[in-house]
Amino acid sequence: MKKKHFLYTLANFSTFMVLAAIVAAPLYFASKFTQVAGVKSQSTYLIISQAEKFPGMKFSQDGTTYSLNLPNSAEAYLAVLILNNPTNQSRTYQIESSDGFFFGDNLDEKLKSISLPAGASVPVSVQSKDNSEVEFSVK
Amino acid sequence: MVPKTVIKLIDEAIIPAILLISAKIFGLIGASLIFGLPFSIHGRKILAILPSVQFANFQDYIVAENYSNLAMFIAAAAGTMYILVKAHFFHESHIHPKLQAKLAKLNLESLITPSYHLYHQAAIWLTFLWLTVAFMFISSILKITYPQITIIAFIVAANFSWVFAIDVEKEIELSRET
Repeated sequence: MKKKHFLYTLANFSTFMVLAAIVAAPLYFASKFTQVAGVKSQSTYLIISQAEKFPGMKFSQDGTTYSLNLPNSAEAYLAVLILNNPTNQSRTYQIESSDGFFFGDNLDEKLKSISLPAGASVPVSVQSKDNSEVEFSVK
Repeated sequence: MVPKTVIKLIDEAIIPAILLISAKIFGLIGASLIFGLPFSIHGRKILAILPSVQFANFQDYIVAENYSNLAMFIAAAAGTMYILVKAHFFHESHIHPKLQAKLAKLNLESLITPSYHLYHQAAIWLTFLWLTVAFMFISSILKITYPQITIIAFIVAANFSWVFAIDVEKEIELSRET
């Protein structure tokens, strides 16, 4: 009798698990099916250039140092780059630059450090005072 | 004994699950072909049966992901819509006598659906619809899916749920009367 009772419980539990698996399957599939190439590499961030949207601006990279050639050094350029967290965990990023780079696009709140959830992105802006050749790196 | 309802729900959930997965795949392929997004297909170490589609850059990934999520939502919404139409017009408990007579004349009485069958289907489709909305909501927070799509999806899901609730209300009233 006890064995039968156990088997009933097991059958009920298994049926609910099958139902949950069928319902969850499409969403699991949807979340895992697509990827950005290189996400599985050791890179903890991705930098996406938006420099082509700003006439006369040039973007270059030397190792982990990113440089921008600004058409007018006196202006502020918002969201010239996008930083993405491609990892599957939340991470804190710091901008290392003496040329006026900051996270976000708010000139009143120039963030030098930001915490990003997995897969999230943040714009990177620059407001240089005198240099037209500006550079930064991310830690 | 395993409850009959759970077995029925499993039975009703298989086809919608396959449809949603297919919609995601076709949405992805469609977006890639229409917008000319290059992608490559890779195997996985775990769950080798499930390949992964890799896009060359983040922008391409965002476009493909948005359109494939939209396709998945449209599939879920279409399935729910089909059930709602059945519940409203072809529900055994309150089908219009004229329509019933017409269906009988055309030998299409199989279209008339009993509540037991209909409500299990509705439970599954509405679950998939709301889970898709929840998935898109999380995806929007992560800045992958455009928030406009998620807002529209939420409005559609809320309206469909409301229409279904009206049918349930009608059913309860009828059962009280009898």
